[in-house]
Amino acid sequence: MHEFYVAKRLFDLALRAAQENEAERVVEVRVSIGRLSLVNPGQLSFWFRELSRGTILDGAELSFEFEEAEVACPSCGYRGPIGLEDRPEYHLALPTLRCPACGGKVRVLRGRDCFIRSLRVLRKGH
Amino acid sequence: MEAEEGEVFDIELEQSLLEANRRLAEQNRALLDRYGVKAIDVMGSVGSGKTSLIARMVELLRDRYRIAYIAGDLTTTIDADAIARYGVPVVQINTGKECHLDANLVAKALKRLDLANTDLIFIENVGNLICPAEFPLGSHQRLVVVSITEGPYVVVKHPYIFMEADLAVINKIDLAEAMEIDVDKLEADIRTVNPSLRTVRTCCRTGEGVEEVIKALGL
Repeated sequence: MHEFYVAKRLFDLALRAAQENEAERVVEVRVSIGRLSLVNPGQLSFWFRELSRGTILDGAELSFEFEEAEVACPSCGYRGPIGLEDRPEYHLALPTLRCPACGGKVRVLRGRDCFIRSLRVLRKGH
Repeated sequence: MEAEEGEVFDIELEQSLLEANRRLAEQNRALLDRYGVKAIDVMGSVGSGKTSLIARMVELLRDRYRIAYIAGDLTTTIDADAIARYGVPVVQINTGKECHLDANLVAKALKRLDLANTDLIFIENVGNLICPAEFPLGSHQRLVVVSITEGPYVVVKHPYIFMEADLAVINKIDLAEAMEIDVDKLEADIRTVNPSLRTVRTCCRTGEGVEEVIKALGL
């Protein structure tokens, strides 16, 4: 539901950067979504397309990469991928803040956020 | 270097799409700290007992703290009215169609409170176990309320909110037998997601467990 908020921010940042760089149009917008973020790429694409209509972002491809969640354990010093709890009844493995090494509570270092990484643009001719 | 006509090139940005809210949340926190106000964000599903829990806590704490209440509600003032009868200042945020409170809405609500004469603010989030997890408000603690009537899988279906929470409350504990819910299993699921998350069992209808919640919040 809040993808509109995220899409609006994405649209604003992309449009500003494209205009500052005198782009004629934007070919591709690359977005990184953290595995622990709740942003849904399908819904984000929908709103981005709607917002882009009639602008230099119209028709730009929105491409996604997913940032894996990385954690650190203050108790044992573990640093690496977040632990996943998999059970047969789960459709997806459950992410857990339990340290894969010692069972303590970890701190999330990466994977919570959602970024606009870069734009591929076509620059105006002279 | 002059660009050639029709040149395709990349612009690096690396900018967060969520940071605007985070920045505002930090500003809210700084404002609260300046006035020595403690704020608690209460999250949970529709009907989990967020308002009932807050009402019970206000009842027990109103002689010790100058309390205010910020209610996030899509359309009604039912919750705000329920707390206002304890004589505490209430700010109602009707989000209209939003699925969560965000730091900006809370910043506006804080402007309408007399912070210099407030010690404690309960912020009741919109009834939702998903979106509020992604939007910190600047509160000092985040509390999530789940209730027995939400079924045996409520925790494993909504892990993210339990990752963000500082305290979990399992409410409507009196219905566990009737609903055939294994409360120990719910608690174990909470610990699976977040091993250090403290859980308190309550029945807000009778007030059972509410004092323990207050203690767990350090109030």
